[in-house]
Amino acid sequence: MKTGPAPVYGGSAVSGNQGESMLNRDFIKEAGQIVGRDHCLGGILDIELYSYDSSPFIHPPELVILPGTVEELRQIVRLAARHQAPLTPRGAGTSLSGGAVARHGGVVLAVTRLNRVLELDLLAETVLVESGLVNLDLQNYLEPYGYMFPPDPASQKAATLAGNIAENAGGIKGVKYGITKHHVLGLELVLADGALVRTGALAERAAAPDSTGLFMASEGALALVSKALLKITPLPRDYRTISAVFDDLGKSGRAVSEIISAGILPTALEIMDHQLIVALEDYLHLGFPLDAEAMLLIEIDGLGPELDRQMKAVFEICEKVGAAGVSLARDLAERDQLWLARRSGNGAMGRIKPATIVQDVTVPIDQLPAMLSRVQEISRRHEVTIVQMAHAGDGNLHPHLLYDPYDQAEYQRCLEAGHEIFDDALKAGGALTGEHGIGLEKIEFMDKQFSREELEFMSEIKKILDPEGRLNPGKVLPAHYLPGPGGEVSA
Amino acid sequence: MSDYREIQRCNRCGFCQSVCPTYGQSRMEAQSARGRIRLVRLLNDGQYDWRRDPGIAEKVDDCLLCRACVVNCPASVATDRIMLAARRDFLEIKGLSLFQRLVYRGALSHRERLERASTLMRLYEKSGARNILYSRVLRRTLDRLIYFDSFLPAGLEAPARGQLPEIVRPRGPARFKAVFFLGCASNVFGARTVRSLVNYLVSRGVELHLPKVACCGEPHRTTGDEREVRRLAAKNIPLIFKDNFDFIITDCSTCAHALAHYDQFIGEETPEAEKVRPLLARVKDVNTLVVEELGLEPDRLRPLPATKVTYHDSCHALRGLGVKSAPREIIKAVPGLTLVEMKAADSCCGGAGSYGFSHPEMSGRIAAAKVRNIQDSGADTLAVSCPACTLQLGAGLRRAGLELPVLHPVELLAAAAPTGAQT
Amino acid sequence: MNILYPESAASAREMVRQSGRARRALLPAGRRSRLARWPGLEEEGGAALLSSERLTKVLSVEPENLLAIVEAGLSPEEVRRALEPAGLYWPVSGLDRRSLGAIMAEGALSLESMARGPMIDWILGSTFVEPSGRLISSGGRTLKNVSGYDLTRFHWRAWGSLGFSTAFILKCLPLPESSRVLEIQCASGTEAAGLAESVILKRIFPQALRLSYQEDRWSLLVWLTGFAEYVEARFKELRALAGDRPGRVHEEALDFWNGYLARWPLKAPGAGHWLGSRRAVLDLAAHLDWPELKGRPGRIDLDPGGGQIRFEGQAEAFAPLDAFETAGPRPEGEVYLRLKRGLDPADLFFPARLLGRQVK
Repeated sequence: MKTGPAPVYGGSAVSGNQGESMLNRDFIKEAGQIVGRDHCLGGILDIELYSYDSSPFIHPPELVILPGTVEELRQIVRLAARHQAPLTPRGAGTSLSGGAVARHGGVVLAVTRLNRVLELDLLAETVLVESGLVNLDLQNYLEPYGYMFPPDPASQKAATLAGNIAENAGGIKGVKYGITKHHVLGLELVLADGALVRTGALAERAAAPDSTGLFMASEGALALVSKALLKITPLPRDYRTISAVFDDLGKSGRAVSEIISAGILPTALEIMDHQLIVALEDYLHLGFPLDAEAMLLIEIDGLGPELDRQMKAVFEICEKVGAAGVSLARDLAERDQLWLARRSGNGAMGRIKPATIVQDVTVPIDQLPAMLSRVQEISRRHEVTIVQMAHAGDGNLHPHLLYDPYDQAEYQRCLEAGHEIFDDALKAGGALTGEHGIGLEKIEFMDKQFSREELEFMSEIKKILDPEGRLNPGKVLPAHYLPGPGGEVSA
Repeated sequence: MSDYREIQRCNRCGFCQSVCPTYGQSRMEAQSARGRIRLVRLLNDGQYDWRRDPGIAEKVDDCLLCRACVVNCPASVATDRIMLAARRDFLEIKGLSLFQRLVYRGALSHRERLERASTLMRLYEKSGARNILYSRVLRRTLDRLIYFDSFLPAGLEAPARGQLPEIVRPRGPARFKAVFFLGCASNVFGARTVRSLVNYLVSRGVELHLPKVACCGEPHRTTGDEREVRRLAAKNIPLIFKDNFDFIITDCSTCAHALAHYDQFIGEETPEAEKVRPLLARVKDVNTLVVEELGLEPDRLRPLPATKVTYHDSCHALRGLGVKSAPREIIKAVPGLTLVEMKAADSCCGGAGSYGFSHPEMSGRIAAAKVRNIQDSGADTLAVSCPACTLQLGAGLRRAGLELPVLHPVELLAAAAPTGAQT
Repeated sequence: MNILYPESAASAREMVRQSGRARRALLPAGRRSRLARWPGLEEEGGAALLSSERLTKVLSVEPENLLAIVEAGLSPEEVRRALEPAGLYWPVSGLDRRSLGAIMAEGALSLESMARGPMIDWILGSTFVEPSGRLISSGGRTLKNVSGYDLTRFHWRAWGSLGFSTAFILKCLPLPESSRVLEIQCASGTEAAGLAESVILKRIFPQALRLSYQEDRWSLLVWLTGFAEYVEARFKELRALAGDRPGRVHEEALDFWNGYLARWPLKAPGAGHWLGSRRAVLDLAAHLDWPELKGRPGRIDLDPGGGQIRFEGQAEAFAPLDAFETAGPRPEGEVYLRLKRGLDPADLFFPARLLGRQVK
């Protein structure tokens, strides 16, 4: 089953595939009355602008709705239920797997206007937010109080909490602080039939079963999140940021393994390969060594004296593994620049070739060095440019397979190389996706990671919460496990 | 076209959203570098065309060219250059807009003109002319103008007088003869209502006479202008207080109240008053006439679409003539209509004839309070039996941004009547 | 009373299938400690307990991957003993007598819940038998894994009514270098609560924080773990906050906690065990100073981090009942009910008629 993009990068959504209309005039009129006509958009250009996210997939919706309050959101969902309209939830539209793209038309429901911080409780160490709040805006809000929200995906500047929850976003701090699901205490959700429910710490009963976790990584296919109660964590007092340079990618992976085996749990352990270093140097001019094969960014946090001891250990390990150079960031400015560089990795690839397939496989940590080497080998064998970036501390690799969108043959080779990478990761005991989600991109590989029974079970859960298959149709599960517009199963 | 090479580097990461001021305000994709670039890309790929899809020009124009996106873009896409190239292309096809001609080519391109503009601006400031904008007098004048404007109903028709003949006879034998007093407000502002009422009454077998009367004199009486009151009454009495008329009717309860007390208008001790007094009882408000003399015939009425109607008691009708239940019975008799009472329905609307013009503040506040009551009642139509109240409450509703139709109760009845009598 | 003891995931699956075919109710049970005398069980002639008592294998310990794979019948104490030689620490302490499956089912809160989150946050994956008899593996051996839906977390506090866990993949940490408990004596509940609040607001971020009242004495218990210098530095901050109040340091933290928690034997669910917000818990400490109270608890353990209290005595005498809720099964919540109806339409897994019984 082919789910790749059109070879011409970003052909118009509207002039391309347009299925039959799923929305009637009454729906459009009532929706306009609920959110106001300025936020209920059906013109060709508006549709064009909501046909994409950060993935290669492009599909036009019929209508774009941006509710301004939770009540409006709920009314729209109820209206959609009455009219059996498909709904594709959307945050900032930075999904890398096609999660925000309306594969089967219908409505794109964007929550970007629901971006208020509702309540901060420093004693309970929680903050209640609307789901459209941008992750970095939350961090900036918390900082003066001495707190952070640890899940900090590289896209935090743009991505919303709604997107973070839908994909169970990881981020650079994942290895020490955990990922989104570890920091969400409760949710307020709108179910497919428009019912407003509260889970976890937001539910009426503290003793009731906690279904919050089911919605983490549900990719908008089980419910829409309107509000979230988040746990906040004190900002670390002090940091040491170390960069180590290697003449071989595998060595950087070994350094990671040894650091972890030594009982040091860094806040961040990030690997960047040669091509990425060159692209980032071109962008930021930080003095990155252009002949390095790999760079390892390590950050440890805590209080002064213990940090120095850990830092010494990290230096020793890197040198022992054969680093060409290890250095400590001198001040906050240098630290900020290093992290800006790392976070800009995905975007910076645009300098090398315009189109990318980003992979997001994970492997157990001890498999990391071997996996990094294997990807390099796959790149050579398939004659495809693969730039590697990794959240090495939690075994999450991001091979970027780059291609020229006007070169159909190169694109095909990328697809084949990608398949091999999935196979290898699964063989190594890993998973298809660590944080980007299955979306549209990886559906065809789901039966490689899961048994038929497991996929059937997921299908049952989907049918329980969304019997008509109208929420983000066609995502996550293969079509024969999905009801409704994206699938082949009758409800 | 080389600037368009920039477009290729955009891989849609979306980081530009975090620094674009227009995105920060709107939270909509159209107002982000990523969105604008995409549209220009599609233009260049031939999917769209400046001529056919001018909407793209608007979106391209929305860009501030502030370059925050350029500096923060990991791929360093030069969005500003792309926007400028697009604007160049668009200009070639569409030419300069008036604004661009005047401000850019007109003023900015000519240093002397700019310097002249500087002179004007300095004059404007030094002379104190700029303070006019902030002056309370100007503000108040504008507010006053807006207030007066709110009285003008939408779709004002030509005066009723010109639309109607002086005698309208029913088809078949007349049940009775009546004179219809066409008051000033009804004539100028209430033509629709008058036509509807006249047609309805005639369809019910009433022969209506519409003599060319003068103002009933009530407004003059409220200011104390006795002389004019007498003069007008003297003109009107021979036209309407004739023995052969069974009834003297009008759709304006103010006029009806005046006419019912015309002996006082002409001077109670005068001989004219003596002649008029026995006929005063023939003055009837049209609601009362319909209910008491014509009868409602509810079974012959067609249903109207389900509507909640609330009724406002005009002072002259309620406290002047004792008209309270008739209009309500009319509304209740029409199938499809539900009468909902508002709070303080009998409280004055604040119009008091010309009070709305002479005492705008107080009148406006009273009207606003009535409008709130109308809203709270849940009604979607307002029924009123006085054209002055209609003007006043219409203005109040307009100022509150509400679009409620305001109708005479008999108009509602006419709309439901079997044939002929249509509004 | 019928008790089934599967010795493997496959045999558990078979038992569930058989029970399903016979339409027999099944109560997922760990070491049966609570369930054997469950009210209403006597009348359920055909029902069986499905016990994880024999699912006690340690399947793998992987220090280089910071994980371990164990069967669900093990207790945290048994897990600790398996991990320590490999230099690993699983931050779920204080629940030693329960099986892992039972902790998951009850949503029981560990000592470290405040700083590190409850046990569910330290599970990378699980294997369970769902009510219709399928064997499902969710998650895996990687820290991050968002393939498909998360099928592990919705069992939290569901009392096994959505599935019977057979194994867990545990996310582990390196053994902390230093671990100590500071016991600070306070003159009153108000003082203890105020001190606790200061610890939180000053972001000292201890591993665990408890208020204890027994034999008319109040104390604040603060647990610090980490590198030696880190613990020393935080300890100094704490001492500064505590001022000249008397205090004791317990260097053998786990021994201390075992001793402390031994005073709270496992009872029927909800008996003397209530849940409430952090603020409610701290306010209760102050409330207990109130001279007009009708009675005082014999002893009370307040856990502001986890939001729970345990006490002995008649709650009505001293607790503001509307601020707290009895811990114990409460099969409510729209999402849970829909899942239950969809996944177990015959209501055979811990049927609601048994689960919903209020336990005093």
